[in-house]
Amino acid sequence: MTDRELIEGCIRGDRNCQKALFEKFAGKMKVVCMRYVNNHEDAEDVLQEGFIKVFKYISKFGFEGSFEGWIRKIMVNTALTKITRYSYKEEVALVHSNMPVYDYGDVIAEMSAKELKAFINALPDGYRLVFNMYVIEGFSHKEIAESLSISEATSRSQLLKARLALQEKLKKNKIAYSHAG
Amino acid sequence: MQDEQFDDLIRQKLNSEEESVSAGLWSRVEADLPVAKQGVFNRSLLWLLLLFLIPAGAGWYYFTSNQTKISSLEGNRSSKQKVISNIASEVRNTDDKTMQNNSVQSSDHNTLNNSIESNSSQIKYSSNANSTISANNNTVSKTLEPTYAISSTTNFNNQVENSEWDLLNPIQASLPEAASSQALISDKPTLEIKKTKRGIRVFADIYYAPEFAQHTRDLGSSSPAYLKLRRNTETNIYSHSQGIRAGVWLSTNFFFKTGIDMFDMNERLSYTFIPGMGNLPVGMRIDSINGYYINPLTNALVADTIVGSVNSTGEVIISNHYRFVNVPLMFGWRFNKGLWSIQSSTGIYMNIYSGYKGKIIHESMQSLIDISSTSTPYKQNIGIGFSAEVIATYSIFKNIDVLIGPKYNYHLSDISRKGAPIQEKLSSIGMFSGIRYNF
Repeated sequence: MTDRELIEGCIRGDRNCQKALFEKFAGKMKVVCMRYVNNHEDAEDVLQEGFIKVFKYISKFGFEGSFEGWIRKIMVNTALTKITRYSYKEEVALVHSNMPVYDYGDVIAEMSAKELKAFINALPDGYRLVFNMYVIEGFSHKEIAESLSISEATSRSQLLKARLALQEKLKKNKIAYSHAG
Repeated sequence: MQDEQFDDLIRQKLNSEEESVSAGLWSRVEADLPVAKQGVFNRSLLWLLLLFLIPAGAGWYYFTSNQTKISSLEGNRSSKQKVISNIASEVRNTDDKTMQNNSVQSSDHNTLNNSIESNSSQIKYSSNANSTISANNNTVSKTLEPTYAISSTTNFNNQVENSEWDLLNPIQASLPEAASSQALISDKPTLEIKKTKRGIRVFADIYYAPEFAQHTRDLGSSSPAYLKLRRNTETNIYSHSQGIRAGVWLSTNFFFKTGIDMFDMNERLSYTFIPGMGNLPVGMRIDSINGYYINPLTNALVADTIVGSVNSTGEVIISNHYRFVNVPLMFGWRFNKGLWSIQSSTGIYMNIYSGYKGKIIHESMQSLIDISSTSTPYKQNIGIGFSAEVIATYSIFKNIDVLIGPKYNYHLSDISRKGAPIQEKLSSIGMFSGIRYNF
């Protein structure tokens, strides 16, 4: 069954299509949720609430753009609501903005996804949120600004700083790895 | 390396990942989903069937049970007619002279004549009820059959007739014997026709009722401070209902009615704080200029989540709207049959739809929950409630009555979800006013 058929079935309220859609995306979306909450239980709570919203508003999808991207945005926004007590704090940690050009392709290729996630999770909260939303989930700066109640300029600057902070960590890790090797 | 290339590397590395989910997660999601369309259709069909079958079934039962009794009465009349004919034949064969000499004295003539006249009227009455009987009885009357024969015929007729009407009308049967003579007999055919019609008489109402609703909350549950706040800040709940009803008379005064009621409730919550001080009684803080909500723990701006406005005295007003569509199933009794009547009815109503719009304060008292979404603590279907009405009716035209009187509704179960921070029931009292058409 194609995504379109699944979506149309869900719009009709067909329970079998809803279940199939859930089974198709639940695993991927749990990873998304895990990026914003700290444990499996909370991630599944977000996942549950997110899928309820997906089924409720699926008729508004309109078959424009990526359906997975649409679900992903719902999950992220649901996760942000879950952590609503979190008030976005702009990170002011100093990073070196004029780092030398470095090829991170090999560094990232050599790392496992788990290691890479650990590096991202180690970023300050403000950086991590914007970085995850922009780089991994594909949010625009406008969407990030709306979701976090910040300005687009803040989103851009936080992303830039997050990227530099991550690159710095990767570079240090590479150097440490090389010395150990 | 360009930023875009770096981002792509990260995205490719992480986006292909999947995590296993708990086995019961789908069940949890499914439990919160509205009933599947197919199920909704079936359930709607079931409601419609119930709506029509219950009054129709009651009417059919009542109507056919009367018909059975009338049919059996017709059968009894036929057999009686044969008996009467036989008696009349025997009388004809009796020697007239012997009859007159032995049984009829001159002093008895007046009595006999009176008896004949009296019995003739009864016989004439009977002729209205049964043409075959009337023919025979007219013959008896015209030919002046011996009095005792006529008397015995009429007495026999009376005896059987009374037992028939007893079956048809237990109220009449219980009247004192003095009332069950000529006057009672002359009323019987009319009563029979009325009762048959009454079994299938129906009416339709349309009404509107302004109401006052009240939440009744369990303050002993998980968040008493929250519940107390919600209770104390609820300044008023104005509501109203409107609907259509269809009813059927099951007996002279007993009726059943059902229909569709739509109940709307407008709740207004008012959170007041002191400008300059900033603190709400429960620790909430509002930016008095923008109406923004400020997290009291982090002192950080959350968002402009407050629905409504902050006025100059620092009062934040939030308006919520609730809507319920119910199907009432009510039995009632009419206390008077004149132009005026009082009709009291009671029963249950089944909720077939409920919707919520607005925001309520979260149990944590640090944010607001959007109660328009399915993740709200409110149920999508709130089950069964109790309903009672006392309505005065006044007939303004032949088939049209005006209706007015108090009505009361009470939800038997909580309208919020099980385990939600607010366990609340709903009750409302209103003034029913409407129009009835009697078919």
